[in-house]
Amino acid sequence: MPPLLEVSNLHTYFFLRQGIVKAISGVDIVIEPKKIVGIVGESGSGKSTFGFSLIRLIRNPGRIVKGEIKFLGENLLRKTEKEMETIRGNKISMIFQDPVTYLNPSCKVGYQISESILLHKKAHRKEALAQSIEMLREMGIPSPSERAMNYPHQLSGGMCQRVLIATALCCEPDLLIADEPTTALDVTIQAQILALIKKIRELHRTSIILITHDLGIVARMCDFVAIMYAGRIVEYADVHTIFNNPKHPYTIGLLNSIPKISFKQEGGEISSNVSPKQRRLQTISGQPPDLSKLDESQCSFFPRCSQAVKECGFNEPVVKHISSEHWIRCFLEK
Amino acid sequence: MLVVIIRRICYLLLVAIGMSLLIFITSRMLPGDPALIAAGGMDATTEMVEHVRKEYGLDKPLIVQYILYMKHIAVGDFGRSFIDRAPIIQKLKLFYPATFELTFFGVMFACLIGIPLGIVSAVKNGGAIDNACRVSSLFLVSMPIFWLGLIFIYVFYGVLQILPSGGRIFSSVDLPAHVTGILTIDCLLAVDFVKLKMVLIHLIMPSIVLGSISLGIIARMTRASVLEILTENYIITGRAKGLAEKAVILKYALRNAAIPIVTVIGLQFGILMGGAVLTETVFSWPGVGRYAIEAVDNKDYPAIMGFVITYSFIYAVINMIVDLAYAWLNPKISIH
Repeated sequence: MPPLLEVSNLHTYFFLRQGIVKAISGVDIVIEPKKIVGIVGESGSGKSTFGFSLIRLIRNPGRIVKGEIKFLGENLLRKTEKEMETIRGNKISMIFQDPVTYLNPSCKVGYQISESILLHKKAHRKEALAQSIEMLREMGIPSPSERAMNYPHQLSGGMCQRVLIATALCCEPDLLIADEPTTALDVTIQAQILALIKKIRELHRTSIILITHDLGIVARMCDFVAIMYAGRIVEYADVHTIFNNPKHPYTIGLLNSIPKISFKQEGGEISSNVSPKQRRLQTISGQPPDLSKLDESQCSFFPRCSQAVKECGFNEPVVKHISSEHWIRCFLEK
Repeated sequence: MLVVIIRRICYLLLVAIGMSLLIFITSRMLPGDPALIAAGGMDATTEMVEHVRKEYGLDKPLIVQYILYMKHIAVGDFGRSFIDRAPIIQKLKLFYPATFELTFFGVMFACLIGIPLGIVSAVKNGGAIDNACRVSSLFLVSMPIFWLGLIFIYVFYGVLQILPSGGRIFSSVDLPAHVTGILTIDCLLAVDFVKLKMVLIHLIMPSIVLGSISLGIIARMTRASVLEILTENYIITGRAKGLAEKAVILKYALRNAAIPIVTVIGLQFGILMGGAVLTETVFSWPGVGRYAIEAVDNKDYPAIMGFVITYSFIYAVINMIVDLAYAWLNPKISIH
């Protein structure tokens, strides 16, 4: 089966007065059909920019400078704006963080969903509205025909996110880009939304790019994981390998920084079985680099890397395959 | 929504009563003896003055005077002019439609040019059109109306001779049959397109001059409002759905940016209704602003009172309409 999406050497820069911010400087990734791929990174790593770049929503002063985005065999960067408009919301959809602010406050939510249907499919207004109500029902919203006539400010955050997901899916896209969809929601709703996203993958055969900084979500949801740092992917592997056998020092640092509290039940008593050494939170020292002043003669993680060797400070590491589906950008041998 | 309307009407009535009281008290605090003026000024004998005082009820206690006055207002009787003894209401009926028509066309001109200009300015923020819009807005707002009017008359009437210098219609032509007093409507009702053309030609310069300041304000307001809306997150959703940029601006941005713009337009209408006096003077427009200034010059108290009361009520009504439009456009208000 041919891959759904092939991104090669993507560079997206923002041309500001202070300098050129290289939000993405060389991302390569392949997304297969029906797979959930997690893009993980801290703030400023370029993960949101990556999502926007895929559907070419980068506006002034940002620009996709070079690279290739092959979707179903066609390079999206060669398409006209009009052609992209038929792809957005239709073949590739995107949902965002903080759903309430991403909905039009003066429009009833039912019509916001049906707008997508009317845009991409031939349908009458009434049919489109009926389909939107069905989508809301599928999203697990009770009394969908009444909720469809509500305004966004009358709905909770979780419901708004379901509306946005319904909007994104109503035209049965092949790819859904979810940019931190649960960050603004509370934990219980988070669980529901994530379960919904998994259901969507099964029912609609949609591939999902899940952009997040939460490793817990990644562990639960993703088939493959790409760890981003300073605008590049530094490690890529399937989810089990990432958690059990990480190779890049940044990935290892991220996993180590998760607080570990293990409980052991001893005869009905729950006691914490944590040794004093493990009690101290581990961090990665230093700060992420200023993306307008990237030193391309060295590894971008070099200043913070605890395992750096001499070569790391003089050359940029290239992709090294550890196995067929596991690669890192690092000089370290192991 | 119905609740909102009823509540607003109650506020309006309260405001109207409060205003009338304030106006009444203020007018009675003005220097000069109204009875003396009504009797003819310095030539009048004491007897004549006292006679007039009794006739106009100016010897009664203030409260009684106020109640009497309110009774008359309620039926539309604003008394008679001190100058020509004609009923004030007749003059108001004559002059208000003229001012209304002028204000309407002035505001429409300001909107037709100002709103698109503001939108383009916001969308192409920082570009040539944006800078031109900002500079010209400042220029328009700073220019004195009478100066602008005189320049227009000089250029288009004096030099180019393509537009008339004033009035609502050529002096040699009769007005169309009076139905509303608004000549464009009256001409349409009489199906007289020749006269309609004349009326419109006479409206061109005064409308542009009157609307010039509003144009600057409306353009700036539209620009600011649209610019702010364009930074909102749902604009991104619109684009992500596959909407063309033009549709995103017209459907999403305008609908949400409309609220402050509509508010400004409504308020401008209210202000211009009363502030048209300079334009009316320059273009010899028989409007209520000019009438009011003449009344002040002549110390014609009933006329002054009549104008102030009617105008403040009209302004309050316009405010109420703007409030209701705001509530209608903003679902967060009409639902809760």
